[in-house]
Amino acid sequence: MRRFLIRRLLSAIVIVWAVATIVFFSMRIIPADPAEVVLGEHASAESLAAFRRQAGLDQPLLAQYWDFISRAVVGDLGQSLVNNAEIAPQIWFVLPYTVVLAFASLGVGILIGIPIGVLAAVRRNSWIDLASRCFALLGFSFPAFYLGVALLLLFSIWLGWFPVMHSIRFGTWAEHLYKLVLPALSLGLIQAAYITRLTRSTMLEELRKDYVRTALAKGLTMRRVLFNHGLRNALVPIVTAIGLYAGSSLGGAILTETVFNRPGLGKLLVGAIAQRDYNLIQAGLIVFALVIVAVNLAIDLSYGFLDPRVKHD
Amino acid sequence: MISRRRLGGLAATMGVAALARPGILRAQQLAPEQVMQVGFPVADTGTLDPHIAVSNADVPIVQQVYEGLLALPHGALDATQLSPGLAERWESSPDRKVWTFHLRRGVRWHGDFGEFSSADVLFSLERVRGTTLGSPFRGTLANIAKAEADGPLTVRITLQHADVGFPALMVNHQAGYVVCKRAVEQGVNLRSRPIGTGPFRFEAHRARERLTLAAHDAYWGGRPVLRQIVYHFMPDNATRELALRSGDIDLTALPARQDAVDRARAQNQIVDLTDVGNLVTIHINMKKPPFNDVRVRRALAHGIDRQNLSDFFGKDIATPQLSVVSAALGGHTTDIPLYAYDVDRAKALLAEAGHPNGFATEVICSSIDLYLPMMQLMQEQWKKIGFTMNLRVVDHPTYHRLIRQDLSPLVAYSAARYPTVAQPYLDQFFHSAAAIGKPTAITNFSHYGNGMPGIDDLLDKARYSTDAAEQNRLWAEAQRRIATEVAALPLYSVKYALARNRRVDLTFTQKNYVFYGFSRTSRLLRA
Repeated sequence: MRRFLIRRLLSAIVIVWAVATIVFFSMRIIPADPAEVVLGEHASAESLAAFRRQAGLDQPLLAQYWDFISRAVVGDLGQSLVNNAEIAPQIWFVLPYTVVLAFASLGVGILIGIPIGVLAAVRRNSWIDLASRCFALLGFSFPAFYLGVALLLLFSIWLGWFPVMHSIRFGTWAEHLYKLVLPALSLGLIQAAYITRLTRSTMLEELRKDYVRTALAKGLTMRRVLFNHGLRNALVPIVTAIGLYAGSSLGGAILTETVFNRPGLGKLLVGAIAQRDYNLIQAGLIVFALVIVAVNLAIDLSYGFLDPRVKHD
Repeated sequence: MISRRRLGGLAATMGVAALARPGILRAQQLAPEQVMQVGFPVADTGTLDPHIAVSNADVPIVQQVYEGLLALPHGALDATQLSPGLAERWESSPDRKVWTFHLRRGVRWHGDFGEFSSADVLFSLERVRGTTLGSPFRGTLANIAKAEADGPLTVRITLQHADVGFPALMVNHQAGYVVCKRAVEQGVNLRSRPIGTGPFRFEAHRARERLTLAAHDAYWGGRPVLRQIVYHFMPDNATRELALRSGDIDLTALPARQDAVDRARAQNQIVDLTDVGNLVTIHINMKKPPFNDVRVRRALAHGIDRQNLSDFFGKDIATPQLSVVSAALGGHTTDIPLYAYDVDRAKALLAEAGHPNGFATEVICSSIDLYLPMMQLMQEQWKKIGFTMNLRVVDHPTYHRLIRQDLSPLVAYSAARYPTVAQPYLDQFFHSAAAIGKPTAITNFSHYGNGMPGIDDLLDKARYSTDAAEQNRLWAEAQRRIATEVAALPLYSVKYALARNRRVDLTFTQKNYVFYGFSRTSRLLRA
């Protein structure tokens, strides 16, 4: 187990370094830099040069890269190139919002997707199965931002149950949860579609296996066979897919945060990309990579609990 | 039957009404919480340094915090109606070369930075004119020969050339903003922590979430009515519209489309259409074949159906324009060669120029709403005359980089310039010194005058002319030459659509500017 963890930690370091390096160089390949964005369309060449000098953008690319990597290693995320504000507090402030949203939506996806998927597999070709397939198809084809606006129209404008602005006057934990409902639903319903489909197909596969027939022949109830044996075995591929989905779930949070005007890492990064704020983009994406690596590590570790045959050597 | 409690309430109301003088009655109508919730249509601010800020994400906030020696009317970019600002009065020498400003006494800087004085004015002028900061407004103050203080409350500015319009540069706009010398010397970063003298002071900023301004109670003009202005960064059009509808925000910007304007009006919101003289133009690179042939350029001009463009964006948003100097600017004329929409004439001109079967060219286009739909319409219109415009769509910052590398033969550009007369616009878009590729390049994408006859002679004469009639004549002649050579294709001027709920009382008319501004007396009324 210890060797497994050390190996995963080392690979995580390589992954994060690779992400940081790719982001660093790819940002500089894209035309336009922070000087042009901040100083605007009628900035003189002289103004642009002065800005680049102050921001250190006139240094050779490798010198900038060395400066960035040597700071990142000691946890110094630097300052925004646009307004000189420290980056670390900005990221630490918004990160919990994104993580909470990603996990809440994943929770919604699991709570809806797994039961519907199991039910659809058990009642194959029934109206429940047909409805679950329609739901999954709808979820696949619905863009996240559109669903967000539709939810806002229904629950905030017509019914008046939730606010449109999810950033105003945050206070107690209850308020946090209240304002999490619509964004989590918006992202979670789409995830539920994926999980439903995956659960249905994996369960169908499990239900066809010999051990299920044997268990039923020995007189075990369908419920016991389903939940104690079938679902448990089916969970390994489902959890793997959910782990992979955690990355796109964080990505999906970008749109959701924008539509619901909710603070978050995605919203922070979108603005930074538009402003070509290299330092903020680099720092944000490193944190993104770290979160995804951590989630996948947790998923790998969970296999041992789900299936005792899995050993982490 | 009326309850005792209700009777008491009624009596109290009647008593208040009987005692109320008009002023008291007005106070009764104010909302209990004077906090303006603003749906700001950007992802975040960039820089709040007034000598650098140019974007729509920064300028509306800078305007609330900083002031100039003189003040433009609230909500209007009108240099003909200047009023005292940080200077109580001003005068010039008879030759209009020396301007003296008498400063207001007792003006307090935000925070603990003491009182405003002539040292701040001199520092601000030097900051813009110097090369250390790299202010984009440096050229605006190029005519200043020297600036000196005569005591703490008098500033004297000597110009190289006489300029009757010089006071228009010393206003609360761009180069005219006054910053706090002491704050900068103490290391305050004005990009993220602005220190001004205006009615509202910077309070807090949460990146990509919100920025809060609070009332500056020591403001020289009196205590502001609004206690806070909260700018929520809301780049998504649909969310802003829904938030305004639900009452979560008090005011916002609408997409510049007729349907958005009509919807806001239908929901009983007040729509303010502001005109900043923003002219949408397509500049033609006169050096690149086949556009170096004037017949091709004239064919493109005949292929434009401006009414179709205007109808698409809506009657409240787009107004067809015929000259490269918008009708909103001083010096505009339509006494120029006009090219009526005529597909047959355009085809004939192309055939005459050696393109009987038309031709195709790749054109770079920005992905933002201001440009892409317009260029797609132009693509359709020009297809009818045989010109196939293949659009290469890129994001907006990339667009600005590529067009400055001269990579697009046609460049769509929407711009307004200050002061609101023809000179700065013509200087930046049609003077040979502003041609792309030169060290002094600004936005002359057509290369007009660069290695070919242009309008430099007219612009150089008009720049420091003290005779308004002569200036107008020179600007009109410049527009005639540009239209004859078809260096650019003016299409339409565009208005900005802003919307507010009926609680918002700005106390002035928002005529110009891309976003709402506030005055000391702006307020929220009871719903």
